[in-house]
Amino acid sequence: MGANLRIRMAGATDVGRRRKANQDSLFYDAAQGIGIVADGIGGRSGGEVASSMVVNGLRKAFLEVDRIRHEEIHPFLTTNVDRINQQLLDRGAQDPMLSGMGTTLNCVMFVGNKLVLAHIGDSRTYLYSQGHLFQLTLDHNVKTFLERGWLGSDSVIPGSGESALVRALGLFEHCEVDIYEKTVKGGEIYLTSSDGLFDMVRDADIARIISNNLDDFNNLPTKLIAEANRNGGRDNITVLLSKMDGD
Amino acid sequence: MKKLYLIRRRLESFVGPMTAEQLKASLQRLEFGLQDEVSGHCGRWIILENKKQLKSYYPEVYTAIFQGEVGPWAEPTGLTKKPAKVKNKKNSNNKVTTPNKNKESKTTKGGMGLAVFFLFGALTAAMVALYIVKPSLFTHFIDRVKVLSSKPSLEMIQSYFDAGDLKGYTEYIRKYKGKILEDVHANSKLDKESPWLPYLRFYAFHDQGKMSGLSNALLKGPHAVSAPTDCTLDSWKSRFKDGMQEWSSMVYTRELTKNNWGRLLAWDPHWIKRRVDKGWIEPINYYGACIYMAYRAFEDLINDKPLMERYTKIEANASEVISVLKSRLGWLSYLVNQTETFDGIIAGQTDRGFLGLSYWTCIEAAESFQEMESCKKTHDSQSQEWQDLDRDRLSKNILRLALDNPKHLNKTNLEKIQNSLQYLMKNGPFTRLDYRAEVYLAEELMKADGNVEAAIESTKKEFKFVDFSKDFLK
Repeated sequence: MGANLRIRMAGATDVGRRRKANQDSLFYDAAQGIGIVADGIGGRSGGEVASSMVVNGLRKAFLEVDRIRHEEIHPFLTTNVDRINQQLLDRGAQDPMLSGMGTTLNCVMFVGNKLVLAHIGDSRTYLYSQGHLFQLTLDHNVKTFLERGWLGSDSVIPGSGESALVRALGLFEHCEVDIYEKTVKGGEIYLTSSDGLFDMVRDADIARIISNNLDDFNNLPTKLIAEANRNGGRDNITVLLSKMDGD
Repeated sequence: MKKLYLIRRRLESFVGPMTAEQLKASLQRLEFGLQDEVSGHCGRWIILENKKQLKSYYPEVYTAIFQGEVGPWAEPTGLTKKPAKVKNKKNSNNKVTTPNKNKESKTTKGGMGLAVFFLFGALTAAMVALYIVKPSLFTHFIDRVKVLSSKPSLEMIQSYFDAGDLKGYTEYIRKYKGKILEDVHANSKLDKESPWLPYLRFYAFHDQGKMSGLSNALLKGPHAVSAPTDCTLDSWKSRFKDGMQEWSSMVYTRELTKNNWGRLLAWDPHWIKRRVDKGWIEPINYYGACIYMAYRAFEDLINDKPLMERYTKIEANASEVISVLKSRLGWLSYLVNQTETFDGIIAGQTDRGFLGLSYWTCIEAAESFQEMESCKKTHDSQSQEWQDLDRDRLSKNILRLALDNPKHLNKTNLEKIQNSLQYLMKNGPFTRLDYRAEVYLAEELMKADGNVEAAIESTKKEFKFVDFSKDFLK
């Protein structure tokens, strides 16, 4: 972290009120400045396997390097995401029960005074700052791609819902990961979550809950999850918060 | 609490959060551009130059940028008059401001109307007198009025293009920019491409790779899914500059640089030439435009003396690294865009053989299997990852040469293609280029026993926008 910045992290994951199993995976380590949220997709146990493979794969890769410099993060993330994507495809090809499994990925890494964010799929990372909430990532789904003109309406398979994923790990041979960078400042909070949160809780309510519970940071993830469950809890819910303390 | 806004720059980084006033100052410092996006609290992302949406979603930002004294992009302040706030006497207790409709005002209006009438009469009389004395003055005026009221014509712009009159072309686009952009955006709402887009793309990519009032996504079009959305000259400059420390790793095949400039260097020019895009007149498609911008950006960087002095301090083989990258970009631009940026000499031939990128150029430029073999003989890539990519590149060019020289399609070469199919099927994971049409063609070639024409014909039915007849180097 920067000279005067310290990072605090708090996270939680919950099965929700409708699903039998939790296919989300979560890992975070405030001392290392890394946090990963993945939301698995695929029937039976496929989603669970996929999300844990990507979280464990990245965690392991990160722990294997002694020290990572800012300019090395980009290649580090793309190389490892490519490698894990291939592992998911290979595993799916070997085991028919896991065929078609995939996962979203949101990985936040804090190096120096920078946040580097790797994103694939429709999990999101938000920035909370002085009562304002901003969605940093773009959902890789049909709706966003159509809106932005990245996908012609004629190239969408009839019947595909707007929420259908255009990009995810484990689906295609090549896997394009969005990598964003942001200079971080004291007081900022980064919220990374699976769609089980923001599909159930409006952005404005998320901002309000954070604002009202700034003094109870460690319990904030469970409070957000509780709100999602109160609103129906239709999917698994994972919440990771990274707070910048200091100037 | 003041409202805060966040800027998303080139879909890669963020500036802010900040107030509208700070945003204006940041824009003046060129920390971001009008093609970037802004978001407010819990709001959607809006491209700054999309004035209509910006005004509707973030009026405070709109006002700060377009109605202040920001710079050349601001609208003339004199045209945006504030409506006069006149208190209505009858409703003065309600403190509502409405247009003045009382009797006194009507009288004033009547007086004004009379004055305007007499003024108009006097002006008309003066003009008639002037017309009698000097009619040529009026011909010019009438011509000007005609231009302003006329519509831009596709035939006219095509004629400038055909004549190679770049100056006339540019002036014509500038003159009708407003109307042309209206047409582009109206079509875009209907999910259609305006017939003006090919001409605007030519205009933009012969300059900086951007056009105010037109988003990068619209400039890019829907087909080039593997290319970055921002291919402006500035974006390539910053990409190459930011990745300077990785240049040598890429050149000496130690590591693959998996960001946009690394992927562009690895693009397959033959694949790009085959992708016919009706939305483009020149460059041939968006990939070609990106290559052209990247080449120019790299040239600008290597002409930046202080920067190159710094680079020579951190890289012992700076001149070789630069010449290999320049040669690769020159080759890509030459083959895809037919620009004269390649002198025929492939830089990067060392004692050990060709360096990675130069090896690819060598096999892409080979006009026979024999020539291709000679590239191979003198080549030595360091990492396994590069060796895999070398094989991949070789297989794709075996197929290209087979199409180029059908008479060489004997049993041995058909076997070569058969063997290379597994590499073709990888769909270009590094470059993200989609090789499904090439795989299909190779399979059709097997089925048709090497009959190139039949294989191309049947592939054409499946992949309408892929033109294999463009493989010929000549």
